[in-house]
Amino acid sequence: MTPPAGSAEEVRLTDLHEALDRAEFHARLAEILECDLGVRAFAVEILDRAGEAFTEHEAGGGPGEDPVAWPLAVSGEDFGRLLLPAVAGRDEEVASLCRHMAPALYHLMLLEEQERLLAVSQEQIQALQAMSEVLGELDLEPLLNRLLKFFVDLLQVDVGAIRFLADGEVRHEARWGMPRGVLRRLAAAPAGESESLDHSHGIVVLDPPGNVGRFRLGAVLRVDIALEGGRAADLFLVTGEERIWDPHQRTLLRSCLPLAAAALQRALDHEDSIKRHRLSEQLEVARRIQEQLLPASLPARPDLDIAGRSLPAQYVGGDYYDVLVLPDGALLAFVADVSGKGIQAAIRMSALRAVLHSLDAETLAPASVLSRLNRQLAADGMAGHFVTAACLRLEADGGLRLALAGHEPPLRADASGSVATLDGEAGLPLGLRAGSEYGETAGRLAPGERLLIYTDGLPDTREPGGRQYGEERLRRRFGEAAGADAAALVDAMLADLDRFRAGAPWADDHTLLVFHRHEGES
Amino acid sequence: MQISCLEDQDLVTIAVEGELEVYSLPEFSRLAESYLGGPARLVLDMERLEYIDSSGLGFLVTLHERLQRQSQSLRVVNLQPHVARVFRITRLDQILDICAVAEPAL
Repeated sequence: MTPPAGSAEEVRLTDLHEALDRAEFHARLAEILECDLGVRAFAVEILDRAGEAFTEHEAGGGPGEDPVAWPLAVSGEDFGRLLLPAVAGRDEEVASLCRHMAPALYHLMLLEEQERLLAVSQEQIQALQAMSEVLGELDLEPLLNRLLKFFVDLLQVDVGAIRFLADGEVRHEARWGMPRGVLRRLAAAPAGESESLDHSHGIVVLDPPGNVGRFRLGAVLRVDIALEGGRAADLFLVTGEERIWDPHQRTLLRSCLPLAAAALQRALDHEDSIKRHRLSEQLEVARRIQEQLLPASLPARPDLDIAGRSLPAQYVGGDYYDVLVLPDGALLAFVADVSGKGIQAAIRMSALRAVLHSLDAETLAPASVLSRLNRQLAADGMAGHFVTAACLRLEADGGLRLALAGHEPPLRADASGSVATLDGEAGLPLGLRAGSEYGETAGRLAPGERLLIYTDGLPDTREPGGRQYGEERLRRRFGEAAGADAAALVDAMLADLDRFRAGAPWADDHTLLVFHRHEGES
Repeated sequence: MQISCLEDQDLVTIAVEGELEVYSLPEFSRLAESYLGGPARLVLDMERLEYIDSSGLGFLVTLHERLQRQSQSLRVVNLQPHVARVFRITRLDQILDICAVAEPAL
């Protein structure tokens, strides 16, 4: 039954709807109950989602024993009840009051919920703003410290720790007021109630182990942050008192985690790129040193032109070539391939050059050069590494002597373009056996003929499909270039290799040394 | 590179497929070294090996020597012609026990 229009009762009911918050609402409700029903003692209960009632407001010492419960409903659904002492004969008035007050109270509850959510998101925005300062940190260790402090403040916990792990090993840890022993205990503690956020972040509530020594653990939260490349961070947040981690706190935590993960990842990338940068600087230095070990220019002789090139597959290589002018006017050509690649091969190559240049030039016969290098390298004990080498002595009259240590035999092309292998009895690669002996093959480089000494990087060069350049194509190209001077021949052969490889990476270091004896001279 | 392994009492046959070179060597060397002090005979089947570089060759030489010290033997079998050529040119065929075809497992 609706109160008569304009009555004092109707005005009071309208007042209920104008209450700005629940305190005011309850004050006005108390007034209505007292004026219209003569009731001072009452209570308002609200049902939670599970249907459990809890007291929202109580006045006048409560409705006493055995109160009558009047349902409060919106859209046909009860959301609470009004508890009153039994009031005989006033049921209709009370029911009418309930119909009026229910939407007003419900509306206020909704408003307050919205305000609470707004406050949470405001807090979230502030937290994210505070975090953006932390995110400026690029170095891993200070970043861990700042992240830890940030999360401690965010959840207002007493102590905390953060660990950074790579491949399961702890690489850094930062602690905020937490003894090392406590962290160790927590790291091994089993999970209690757990909440998985998504595939990469997990918030886990740990069962606190009670006290660790004198250290009291009330509530412990662990947050696992997965990073790329088998790396991860875990964060421990601890309060001394027991605490229920309410959804609001979890929401805050959850909104900050992806940023924390991104910051850690960025710090790791930064660390990696510094390492890479340092490494590439070192490589660049090594490459320049090695370039200087290769001859800047080759000797010239009226009857001969000589050209050589050595290109590493990586920054630095293990190939080496040199041409020495001997006191009697003969030339000593040396081409070698140190096993392995990169810096280690380059270091051995440098050692090889040092030994070669220290040999007594007077007595240099190819076979004795190789045996002396071999003795030296075998004594240096390069386990698992060896050097293949070709050593050739070229006399002023075109006579030559060749010694090989496990190396590709040189090729000789005549003016017509026909190619022959300058074969000989090869010995073992240098550095394998201390007592290895080397034989010599004698021959001659006639006017108009060319000679090519190379390393296996040439025939081993591969195209993207995996097919090798091969010895046949090498011989053909070498033969075809009749008439070209040595430098042009070297360029042409390298260009052909480059065409063949069609962008595929070089399989190995590759070196070629060409002698071209001019026609008409002798 | 792919490696497969067949163990039969005192004989282990390791088949290497693809390329044995500086980048794939660590995987191969870890496996091969795990047999040091183990079975009396190691056989390296190269039927499907396409390429071996100087690092690979160098490792085989040291492996051979280390096995010898443990009274174990290493035999390299089933080489493709261009791989056999590498062993011939480097003269490692004088150091290593190289056999064109696999002997039947006893």
